Amino acid sequence: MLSSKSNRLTEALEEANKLFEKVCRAREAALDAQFLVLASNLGKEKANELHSEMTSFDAATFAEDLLTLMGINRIEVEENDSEPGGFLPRDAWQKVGEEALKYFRRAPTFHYMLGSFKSDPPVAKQRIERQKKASKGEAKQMMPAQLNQMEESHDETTEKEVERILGILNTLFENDPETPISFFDFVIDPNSFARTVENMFHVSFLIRDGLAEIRLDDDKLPIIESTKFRRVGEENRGPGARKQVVMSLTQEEWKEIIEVFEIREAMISPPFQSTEEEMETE
Amino acid sequence: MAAQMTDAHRRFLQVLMSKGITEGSEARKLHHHCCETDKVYYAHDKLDDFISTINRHLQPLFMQVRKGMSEEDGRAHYAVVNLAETEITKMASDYTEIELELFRKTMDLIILSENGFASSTDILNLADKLKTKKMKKKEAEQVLKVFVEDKWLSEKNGEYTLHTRCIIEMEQYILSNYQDVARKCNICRSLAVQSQVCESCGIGMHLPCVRKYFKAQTEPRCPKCNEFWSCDIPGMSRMSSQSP
Repeated sequence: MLSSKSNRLTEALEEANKLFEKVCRAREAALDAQFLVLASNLGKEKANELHSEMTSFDAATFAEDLLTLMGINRIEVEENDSEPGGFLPRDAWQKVGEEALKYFRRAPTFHYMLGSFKSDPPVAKQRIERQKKASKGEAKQMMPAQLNQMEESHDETTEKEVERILGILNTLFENDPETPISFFDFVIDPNSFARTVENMFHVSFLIRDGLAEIRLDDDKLPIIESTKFRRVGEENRGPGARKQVVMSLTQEEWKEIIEVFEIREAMISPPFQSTEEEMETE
Repeated sequence: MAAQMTDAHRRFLQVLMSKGITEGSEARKLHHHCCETDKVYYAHDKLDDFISTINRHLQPLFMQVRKGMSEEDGRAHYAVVNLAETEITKMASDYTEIELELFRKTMDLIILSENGFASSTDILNLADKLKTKKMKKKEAEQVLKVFVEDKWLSEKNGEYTLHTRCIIEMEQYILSNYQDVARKCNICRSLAVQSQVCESCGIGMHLPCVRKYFKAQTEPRCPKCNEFWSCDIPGMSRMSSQSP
């Protein structure tokens, strides 16, 4: 039944088709379906056998022949091997298209935009007054990517603050390089919890960038040191010895520290931001 | 005496459909080529009759080969356009709903703008505000590229405007949907996306129309209010005094 010469499979299918006319029960229909499955499997086998009689399609050879048709210029490329095949002339693809034209009769599809979407209700934007155009017209002509003036963003403020605090730390150290400063003395602002937290935040930047260091002194209390004005003799430790610490501070702890360490005034002066209220106080 | 549709007509139509839009001189060359290839009677000045034969057969399909003017150089172009807006045309579009929404918003920006251009930054910022679904900026860039390739938008220096093909197809749509905002050229009375506007009376004109109108005049004056025309007239150097 599988040989390409015999028509037996087709005859069997036709017989099944005829028999199906008389079918009136579900079981018979199921049997018919079963037969069709069997027949299609046999058909697949038959087709596979057929395929092995033809020469198989070799994609690489076909590609080479195609390039030859396109008129490839196979010159030896000495320096760089990036173009191993050579160069195609400008009308190469045109030639392929003309050749393929003879075998395909496909009409182009219709592409359009109108009717792709429903008409929106008319745009209700007011028409800009055109009559008396003031010098507003000139101002609008800005190239998209130009930044004429950048406003102070929050990041800038942070950087400025960090620099300012670095300055304060270095000044303190410059005057007295021997005594390390207690971390709490440095960051705590007894007048404002919020500013204390901000100070800690800014100091963490200094530590991250290696401009300052926190160590535990003999009493196991944290002290802060400027790396710039370090005592001579200490080696400059590379970025290898990095440790990460998360510090938390609640308002209760803050008050406790102020009491215990007797912190009267902030070493880091509050940032220069004149507030209306301060001016208004009588 | 209705002319029959020959293979030359069909060939012409198929080429035009695959290109979408073609320029006037190219269309004439194509006309010649089609008539020669299919051995049909050719007369070099009968392109319009040729096209109207095609249009007569396209009419029941709500398609048309329409002629329009490019806003850049004033040359005539021919495009195959769709005339129907039905449920079926909505389904058969090349683009997804969200891409079409982006296109609509881009069209809004272009038409509402002063000079007919929308910067790519503005368009990409729209990608976040789409109703159907958010579109990432990379995707939006891709979509814009596809629109340019398919000749619905054209790009110049990072700014986008409507391609001539889009204007030819969507002119009526734009005029009816953007009634108060869309500008009409004072000279040729058709939609003007890019235009020069008179500062005193507010009328608009296409740049090529401006050039043609002022070619004959010594002093450019607005045709409506007669004020001095302040914009730079394309293609003409402005000389205030006579050359020695």
